[in-house]
Amino acid sequence: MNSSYELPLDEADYNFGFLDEYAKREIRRAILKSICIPGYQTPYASREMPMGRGFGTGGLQLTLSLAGPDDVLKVIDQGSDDSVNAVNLRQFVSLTCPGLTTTTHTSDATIIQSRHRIPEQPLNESQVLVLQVPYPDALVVVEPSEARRKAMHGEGDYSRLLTKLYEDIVKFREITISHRYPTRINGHYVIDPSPIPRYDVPQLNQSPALTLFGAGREKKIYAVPPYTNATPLAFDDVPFRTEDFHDDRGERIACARCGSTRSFLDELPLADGSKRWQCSDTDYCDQQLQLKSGTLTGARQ
Amino acid sequence: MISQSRMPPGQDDQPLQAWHPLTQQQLFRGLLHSFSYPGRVVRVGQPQPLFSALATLVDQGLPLADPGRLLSKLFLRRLGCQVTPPEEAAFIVCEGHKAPDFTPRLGSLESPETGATLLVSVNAFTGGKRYRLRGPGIADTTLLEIDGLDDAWIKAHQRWRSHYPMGADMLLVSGDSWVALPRTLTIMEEIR
Repeated sequence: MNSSYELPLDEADYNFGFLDEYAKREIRRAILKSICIPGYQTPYASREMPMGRGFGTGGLQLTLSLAGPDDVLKVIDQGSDDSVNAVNLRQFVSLTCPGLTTTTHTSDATIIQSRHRIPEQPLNESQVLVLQVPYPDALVVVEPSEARRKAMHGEGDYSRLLTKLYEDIVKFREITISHRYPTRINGHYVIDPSPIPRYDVPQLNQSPALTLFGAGREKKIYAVPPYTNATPLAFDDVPFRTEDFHDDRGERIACARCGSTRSFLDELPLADGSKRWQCSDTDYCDQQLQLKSGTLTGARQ
Repeated sequence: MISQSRMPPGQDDQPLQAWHPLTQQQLFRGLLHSFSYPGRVVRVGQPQPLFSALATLVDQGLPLADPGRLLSKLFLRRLGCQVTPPEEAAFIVCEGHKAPDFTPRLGSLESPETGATLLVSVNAFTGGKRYRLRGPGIADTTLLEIDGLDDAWIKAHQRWRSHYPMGADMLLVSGDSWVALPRTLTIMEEIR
């Protein structure tokens, strides 16, 4: 978005949060029902937003229906506050919600809208995590008909999905789903937890914060309420495992910028053909750097 | 004709403020918090929580039932909704001291979200019977005291959820606060 762009407020008199009150009310009803039925994809009338479907319009509609002037919003894309998608969405929300403040610090935020990551820092009860979802249905890989998928979800029938995972193991000795890992919520519905890496899936389990998922193009809202079991699908003899950041010598790779060995790392190819690893969560990386410099100055004194 | 004494005061004086976008946002966040953390008594911060909840959630096109005739004509007109029997309604306004004499919409296996939301007025969230709640949104278990809720409500809530994900969700309202009881909860009476 052009940084000098402004909504034509004088002419159009946009409502707080851009959406009209009927739209918000409908989204709010869908949010409450999706909390009451954890993991169920509640249909809603996804509105046209002034950006293309697929750019996070589902998450944006959730954020706009939640946000008030007292809220502090953080928007991230792949862990970064500074990428194009995050910057545009943040700017749009602050243009249409006068009074709302924005932040890059996870701990200061009351609403965190995210694409493809859950922040490293554990969330608390005063925060809501909003995830942008491209494909909401985990069963779409095994069943093309939505009517049949709805019946399968209702009955908790995930045998065909488990068969797919089993076939992966037979063919590749590994479940080949790297992100959007099917996760069972509260022992019933299996959700597509949006394209977060496997590394983030355990963060959904028994989290103190509410997690909402919005799929704008597919017109679905679903939720993982706080303190709810979120169990990635796995087998007794092939347990769920997350991304492995150990090198050939068996040592955990550290972030090249902050040195953390406890974060999800992005692999950055360098010009000379070598690789570099860096924290995907930029706020976490900055915090680690500040902690380090804080201890360094402390030692000098 | 509805006798004036049974009519909760204040709905016609309910300031139109309840429909202001920023008030609705605050009220919705209160509802969101209640449904996220069931069994917690959440203070509403607006007068008349029952009417505030209705103003936040209900609009035209949605069927609403008011079997106890708690809502005035003026308030119903402001909501703009259709009034139907409780069996067909998406939202049902009820009095907690009277046992439910209807089965609300419970949704279907494919579309459980069409299960009704019941707004039930009770006397208070102190004193009265004690219930132990377990389910999503509660870290382990939690205790809730409800005064002025007929036993049959809890039994009905548990019966309605026996074919989960079908079921009905309840919002108990009293004084200046509300408590959500979504269909996911297991509720057991605790004998003192």
